[in-house]
Amino acid sequence: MGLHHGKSAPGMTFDRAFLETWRTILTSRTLLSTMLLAVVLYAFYYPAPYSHETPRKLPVVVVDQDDSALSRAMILDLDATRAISVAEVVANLADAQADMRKGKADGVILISDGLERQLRSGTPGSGIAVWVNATYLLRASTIGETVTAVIQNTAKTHLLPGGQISRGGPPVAVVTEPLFNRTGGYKGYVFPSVAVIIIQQTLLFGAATFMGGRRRTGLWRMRAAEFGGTLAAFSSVGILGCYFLFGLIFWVQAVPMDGNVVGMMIVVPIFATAVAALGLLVGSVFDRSERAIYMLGPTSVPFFFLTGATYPLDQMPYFVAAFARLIPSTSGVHTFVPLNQMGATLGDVAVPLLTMVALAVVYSLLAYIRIVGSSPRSTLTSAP
Amino acid sequence: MNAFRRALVREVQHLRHDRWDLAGITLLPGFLIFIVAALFWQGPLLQVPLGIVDGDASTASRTVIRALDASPLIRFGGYYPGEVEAVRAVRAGKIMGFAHIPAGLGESVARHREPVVRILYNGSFLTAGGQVARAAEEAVTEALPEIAADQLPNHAVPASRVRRLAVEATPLGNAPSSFEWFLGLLIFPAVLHLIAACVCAMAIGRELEDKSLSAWAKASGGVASAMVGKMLPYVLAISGWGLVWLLYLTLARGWRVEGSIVLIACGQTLFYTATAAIAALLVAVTRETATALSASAVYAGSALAYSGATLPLNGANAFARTWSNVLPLTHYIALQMGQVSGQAVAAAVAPTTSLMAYVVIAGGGAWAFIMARARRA
Repeated sequence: MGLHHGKSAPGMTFDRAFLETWRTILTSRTLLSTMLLAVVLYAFYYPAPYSHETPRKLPVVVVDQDDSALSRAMILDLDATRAISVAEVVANLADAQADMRKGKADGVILISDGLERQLRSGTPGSGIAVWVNATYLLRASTIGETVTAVIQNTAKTHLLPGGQISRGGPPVAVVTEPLFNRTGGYKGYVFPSVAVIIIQQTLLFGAATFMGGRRRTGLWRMRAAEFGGTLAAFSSVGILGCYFLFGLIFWVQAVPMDGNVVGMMIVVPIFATAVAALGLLVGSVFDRSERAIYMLGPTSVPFFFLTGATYPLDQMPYFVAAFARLIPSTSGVHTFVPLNQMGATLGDVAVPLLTMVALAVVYSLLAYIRIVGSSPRSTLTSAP
Repeated sequence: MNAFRRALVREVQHLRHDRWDLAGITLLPGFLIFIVAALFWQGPLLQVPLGIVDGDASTASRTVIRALDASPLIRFGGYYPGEVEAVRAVRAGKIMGFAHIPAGLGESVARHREPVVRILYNGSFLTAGGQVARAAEEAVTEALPEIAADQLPNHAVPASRVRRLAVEATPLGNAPSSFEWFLGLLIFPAVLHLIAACVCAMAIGRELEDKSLSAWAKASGGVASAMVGKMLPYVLAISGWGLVWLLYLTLARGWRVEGSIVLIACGQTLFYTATAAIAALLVAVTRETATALSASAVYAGSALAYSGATLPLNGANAFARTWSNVLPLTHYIALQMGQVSGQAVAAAVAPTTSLMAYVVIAGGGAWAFIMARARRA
């Protein structure tokens, strides 16, 4: 009996299935490159466009109607900032707007006539106007903040005689500082969250490719021991990947870390199990191995945004946030980022951690039912 | 023409029978469009929880708290006795940041002691944290004259000379800082790019026999036209979804394209054609569907990060800047976002030319590869 069940021959123990799965992973070019080499590649490929951390040298056009010593000093100060590069100084607004339409500048800064006079004497009627292309939100806010900072500074240093700074300056200093990711850099923000997505997607692709391949041959059902060994093997791939990224690569990439290393090491196997089980489950409905990347590849970008790393979960409609929580990466980001970057204790991340445990249990059970349980033969043979 | 029609008919018939291949251009993009559309339904960030460490507990600090709570971006996230407790709440995800109001705020304002209000936010979730911190800073700064007035005997504040410099900032194209319009515009081309890459690689890959396209090339009656016929249903379907997405954002959600929407629509078809050409080249070179799919997942899956649309690449290292220009998504995003923000048609010439170059170079390369192998076989 059970001939057409092929690999689920009675001799397949947990240990043998574990080793056999690892052997398959290491000898299959597709699995090896999808699950192991891809993680190594992404560890360097993904942080590269964020390595400069902040927006730099965004081109702006300045319209200098005032043409005074003050306005010229202001333009020099603007150009001296990290964020802005003054591409051109023109005399009228139409020229500047034309430059923006040609795509030469991200913003236009107008220093209107009479600014210096207004500042010295208080006569109203002048000011500074900034137009920014807000379709790129980050560029817009960067330019806006920089201009405000430069102008406040110019006003303080160029105009007010020494004795008046304290009386004329703002009465309260407002200090804004980022916690954890202390420089407010983009690599330290994006990469820790993306790392979770990288592990999840590569492991999902791998496990689903494996199961899809077995579906194609028809020999995809397993006994309980074989299923356990296979799941453990894929989970161990995920565990290795997580330790590699969280342990070594964050350090190599100089991502800010305030690590709860023990907590992270405890949680990683739970995350890896949830993802591996989901991968086996999803793969078991595919018709062939290639279907894994075909169907799951395009989910990577939406899954990243569903984690709430950029646009928080509480801002999404309830059903979207609920759906997002079914994806392991969502609780993954909200567990691993606090543990790795924010020095959180396991108690601090209790809610996402419990969600992750629930996902690991439910997906393992569903995968078990799908791959082992529904096989009539396995229920027969498991009877004493 | 004959080869083209034969390939087209054959492909459409295949799609009728293979529900997975059909799902790749129907259910999958449809579901992803739905979920991303729903995700950004609200648009801008609203009511993000901000904690308060009130070291003053006076009318002055209450004025600050009222001002903070009145900001549409901020929701009062509770009082914390000290910064340590507040940081713990940030770690636990209960608040996105907090404002620390120093003891003696009101009095210090009146006596020019320059008290320091600290606003600390979660830098590990920089987008939301940074926006909340900016909103909090604005709210506090605006509440200050009121606090000073309350403290002074005649309830009047002398005009600040620094405040004489009025700055008026106008965000063009996205006044409410909506993420629907910002990320919505970016995510979808990126997702459809990868879908197009996968479905086209799968379609060409299906013709591999013993790791070779030679048999298909011989039977096709004209490799170039057969390839076009084969890819046409996919490029059309993906472009159709792109159009659905664009119309959803503009007609249903009321966003406005300042430039030419027709140019964007044509540009995206060109972009997906370029993607199809690259997919054909990948299959022709790797001669394995799985490898072509993996390569697509790598180059198209992370193309958004390299497009410079979120973090501009102006200051990036040479590798990032060069690779960004190699990836087709960068050029399409430049075309699309340029038209969205009302750039002249002339500004679209360069990205359009780049996209055409992918069609010619990748498509031509795939054709040459297949022909060379078929001739040798």
